[in-house]
Amino acid sequence: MSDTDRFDRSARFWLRAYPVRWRAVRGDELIGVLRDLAGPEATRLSLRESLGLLRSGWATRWRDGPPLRTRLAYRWLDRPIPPRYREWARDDIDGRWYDTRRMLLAPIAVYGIFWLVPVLRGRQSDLFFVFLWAMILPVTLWFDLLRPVRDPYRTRAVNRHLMPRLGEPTTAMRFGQTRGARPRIEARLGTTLACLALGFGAVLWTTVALVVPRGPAIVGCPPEPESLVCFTFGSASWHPQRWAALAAVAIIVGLLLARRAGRRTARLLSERPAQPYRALVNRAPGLITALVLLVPLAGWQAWLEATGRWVALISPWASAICLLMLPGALVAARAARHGPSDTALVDLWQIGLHGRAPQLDTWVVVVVRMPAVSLDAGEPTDDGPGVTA
Amino acid sequence: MALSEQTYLVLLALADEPRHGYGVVQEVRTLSDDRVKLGAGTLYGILDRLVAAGQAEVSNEVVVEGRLRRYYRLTPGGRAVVEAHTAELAALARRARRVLARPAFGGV
Repeated sequence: MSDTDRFDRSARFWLRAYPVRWRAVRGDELIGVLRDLAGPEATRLSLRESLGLLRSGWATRWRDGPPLRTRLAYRWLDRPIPPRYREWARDDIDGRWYDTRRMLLAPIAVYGIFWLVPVLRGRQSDLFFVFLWAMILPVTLWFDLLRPVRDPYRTRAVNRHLMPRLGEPTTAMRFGQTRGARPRIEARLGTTLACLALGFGAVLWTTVALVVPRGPAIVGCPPEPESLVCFTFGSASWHPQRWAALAAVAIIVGLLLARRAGRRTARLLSERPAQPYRALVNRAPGLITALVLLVPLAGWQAWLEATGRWVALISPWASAICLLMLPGALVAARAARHGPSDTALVDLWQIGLHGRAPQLDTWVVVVVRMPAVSLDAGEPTDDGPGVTA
Repeated sequence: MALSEQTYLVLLALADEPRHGYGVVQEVRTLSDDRVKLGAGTLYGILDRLVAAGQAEVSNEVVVEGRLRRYYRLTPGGRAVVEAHTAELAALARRARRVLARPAFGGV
C-alpha cells in the first residue's frame, strides 16, 4: 500500500463523522484538501486534523438534520418525517446501526429511570437494573451487527418515511425502491470472534462458578397457624459440585453436537448455491468494539457474584452455556478457515444447527432517489435516478 | 449570519477570484499574516454555511492529478456582506485611532 493510499484510508476513517450524503458529494474534495495540507510525506492524518473533522462532521450532522422535536417524534413516536428531511431519514434508515439507534433510546430511558429513581430518593439502586442498563449498548450492538438487515422494520420505515404521500407535490424530494444485495457477515471473522468470546466466557465464569459463596434459594419458614405452607426467597450455600455436574453434561452434549455439526458441514457446505443477492461484509471494527464493551461488563458481573454482593448464580449457567457452545464454534471456525472464502456466518449456522444446505438469500429493498418533476415542463429536473443506498 | 473572524477571512479570500479549498486556506493565512491556520474541517463547515446562506457558490470543478478540486466564488449577496463588514471594521479602526490619540490622564 502506497503512502497516498494509507493517507486516504486514514482520512476516510475520520470522514465517517460526516453524513453519508455529504461524503458522497464532498468526500473526495475534502480528502484532496487534507492531502494538500498534510504534504506529500504524510501517511496519516494529524491528531489536530482528525479532531477537527470529528467536530465539524458531527456539527454538519446536527445542522443537516431536523430539529430536536422532529427527531424525537420520528424516533420515539414514529411520526412520518417531513419531506424536506427525507434525505436525512434515508441516511438514518440505510445507515449502519439503524437498529441500535431505533432500539436503544427507549430501554436506556426505562432502565435509566429504574436506576435513577432510587438514587434520587437517597437509596442504593438495585444492582440488577444497573447491570441491565449497562448491558443494553453492547447487546444491542451485537444484535444489530449479527443481523445487518431486518427486513420487516426497515421496509416499513422506508414506506412510512421515504415514500411520497398522497397529494404531495411532485417537485418534492422523492425516493423509490429497487432490489439490492443482502449484507452477510463473513464466516471466518464471525466464527473467530465467536470462539474468542465463548473461550473468554468459559474461563471467566468457570472460575467464578468454583468460588461463588451463595446462590438464590426458596427457603422455608415456620408455618403460621392458618396456612399449610410457608416459604420465602432467600439464599443458600452453593456447592461447586453442582456446577461440575452441570459442566460435565454441557461438555458432553457440546462435543456430540459439534461432532454432528462437523459431519453436516463436510457434507453440505459444498452444496451452497450461488448467491446473486448477497454481499459478504466484514464488520470487524463494530464486532470488536461490541466485544470490548462486553468484557468489562462480564468482569463486573463476575466480581459481584464472586464476592457475594450479588446472589444470582448467573456464572455457573453462563459457564455451562459457553462450554456447551464452544466445541461447535471451534468446528465452525475450522470449517470457515479451510472452506470456501465466500462462506457466510449464516451458512454455517444453517448447516450446523438445522442440518440443511445454505438457503438462497433473497434481495433487500434499496432506496433510490427519484428525479423531481417540474410541473411546468413535465420533465425531470434532477440528473436522473441514482442508486444511493 | 454573525461573522466570526474565520468566516470573514474566508469571504475575503473569495472576494478577488474563485478559489478551491486549499487555495482558500493559503489565502486566509496570507490575509491574517500567518496567524489563522484553518483546518479542513473548519473550512468546510464555514463553506457549507456560506453556501446555505447564499453568500458563496460553486463556480467550477476540475480534476488535477486525479484529485477533484471544486472552486468557490462569492455571490453578490456575499460580496455585499463582506463589504459591509469591512466598512464596519474600518469605522471601528478610525474610532479606535481617535480614542488612542487622546492624551491619557493619570489612573484611578
